[in-house]
Amino acid sequence: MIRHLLKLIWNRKRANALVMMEIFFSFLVLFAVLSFAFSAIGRWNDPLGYDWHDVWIVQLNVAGHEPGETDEFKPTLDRLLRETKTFSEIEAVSLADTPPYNMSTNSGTWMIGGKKIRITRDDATDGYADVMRMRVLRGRWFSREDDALNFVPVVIDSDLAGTLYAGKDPLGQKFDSDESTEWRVVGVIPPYRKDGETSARGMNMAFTRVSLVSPKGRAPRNMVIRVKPGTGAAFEEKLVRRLHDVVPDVPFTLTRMDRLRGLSLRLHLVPLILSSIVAFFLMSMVALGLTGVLWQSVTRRTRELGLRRAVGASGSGVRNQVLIEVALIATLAVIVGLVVILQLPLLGIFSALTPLVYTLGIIGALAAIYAITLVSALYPSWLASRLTPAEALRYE
Amino acid sequence: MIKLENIDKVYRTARVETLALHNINLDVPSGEFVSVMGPSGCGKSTLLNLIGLLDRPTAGTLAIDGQNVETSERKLARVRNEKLGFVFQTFHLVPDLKVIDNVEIPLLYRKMSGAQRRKLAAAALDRVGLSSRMQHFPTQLSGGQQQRVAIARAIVGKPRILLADEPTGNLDSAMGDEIMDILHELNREEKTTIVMVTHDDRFARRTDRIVRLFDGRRVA
Repeated sequence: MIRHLLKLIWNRKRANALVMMEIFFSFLVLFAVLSFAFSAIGRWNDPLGYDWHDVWIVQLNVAGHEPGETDEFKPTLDRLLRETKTFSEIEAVSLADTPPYNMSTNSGTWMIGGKKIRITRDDATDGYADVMRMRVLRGRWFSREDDALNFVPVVIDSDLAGTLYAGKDPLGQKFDSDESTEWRVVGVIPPYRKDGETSARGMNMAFTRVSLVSPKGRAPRNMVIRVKPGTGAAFEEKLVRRLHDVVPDVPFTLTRMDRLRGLSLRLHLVPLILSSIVAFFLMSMVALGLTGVLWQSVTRRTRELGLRRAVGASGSGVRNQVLIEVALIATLAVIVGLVVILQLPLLGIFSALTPLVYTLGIIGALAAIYAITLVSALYPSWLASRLTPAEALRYE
Repeated sequence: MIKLENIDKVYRTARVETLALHNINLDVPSGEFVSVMGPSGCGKSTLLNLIGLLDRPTAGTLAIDGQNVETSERKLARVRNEKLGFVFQTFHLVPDLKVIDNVEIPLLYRKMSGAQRRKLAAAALDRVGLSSRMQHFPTQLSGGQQQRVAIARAIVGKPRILLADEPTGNLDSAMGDEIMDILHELNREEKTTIVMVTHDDRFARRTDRIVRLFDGRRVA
């Protein structure tokens, strides 16, 4: 029967072309949507590289300085850090320019060692690894002793280390340089996902040390504070009062990182949810379109199906034949779709997808396209099977 | 071979009820060639559809080959496949399938290999003198040739009963004679029971018996 149906499909290739095209394009769209969805789900569970619990951020609204200029605010910042550390509720405190879930990110393409590479950067002080509970895989985090160095220490994440120094020991490697300053790698941390759970893979993170001793260079304006678990609003008020005493003329805002995280996730998830809704409606339109096309195709063939009933096919046999035929048409369209999809890694498109996500995307798209196609074919096939053979043969 | 007792067929729509057949009794013994005649709309095709299990009677009983017809659709389909062969006025060939594939269709609903199907289909086409046209599409054939293909499809499963609904209706007289010759040959040589609906008195006279209908009733 399959061979017979394949012959029929082949001989009706013109009539079937429309259905095949629709299934082919739907398969590609489904693959793209599902791959990105699986990728997002997979990334959600990846380690962040830091711990956002019990972290507060105090943003000081003081104008910054251009890199290289003298930052007169550094002594005040140093004093603020020391004052803050005196509270027993506080475990660690440091400064950072763009902490996690912060709405601003310093990223761009740098030319390093002859390689053009996209990097996310941040400036941080010595205690930042303790505040964010970042693990150091190799080397070390910044320390007060770094003030004596004749280069600026840099800590990079393992993604960046692999990209920049593949096969080499990253420690001690020159990271960047200009006329007056040289940056060198002193430590490697696990992959760091600045925007949290929705971050793309491979952010290529690099932290540059900020010295509060040297007046040169701009200091970050965010105090990142790790408080003891369970520290509540009463302490928040106390801390705000103390900070106000130290810097009465500087306006500042205190935000908990979990609140920032909620805001950031909402901001990142809204487009994802919207695109999922659009994809759902797109697929519904595809299903409706397919139902219409199949309905028309089955209606056109009512007399042929009546003939098949007359010569021995039962109602369910005719229904199954229509379903098998649709499944075969879908299979032919999907084979063409698979050929296209299998070219993508070779062309470097969708290179951000891992092999697992890529495979899951294909399996998911296959399951969805067969489900949509067969569900679309159910009603037309039921219509085909419910006519008596005599009615079907008379059908005009 | 075919026995109809007190058969009624009523077509009902939301507004109208049409009595297509009323109290039809008919007994066709094995090997007989019967023609059914009557004016248009008298119920000839309805009668043939009921005998061919393509439709169900409103009342009465119908027996094929000594067995009362089952009500299960699956069983009816099996009887249609194994015991009955159909020839229609408009041929009902699938235009997208080659002649040989058209003839194979009834065998698709039986358990047999593709090679066996092909062999039987080729033999049936040979029987109607069309073995040279196996790889043609129906649209490449004349009307008479298409009806011969339809006969080959009807006899490929070696049914004991052949039901022909105006098989010569769309053909000129020469082609009609050709088709009638094939039907007579099948009746004579294979002892196939044939019930044929026709408008043509000339062809009806060549059969063993003429059943006449008028306004849904049997009048002769």
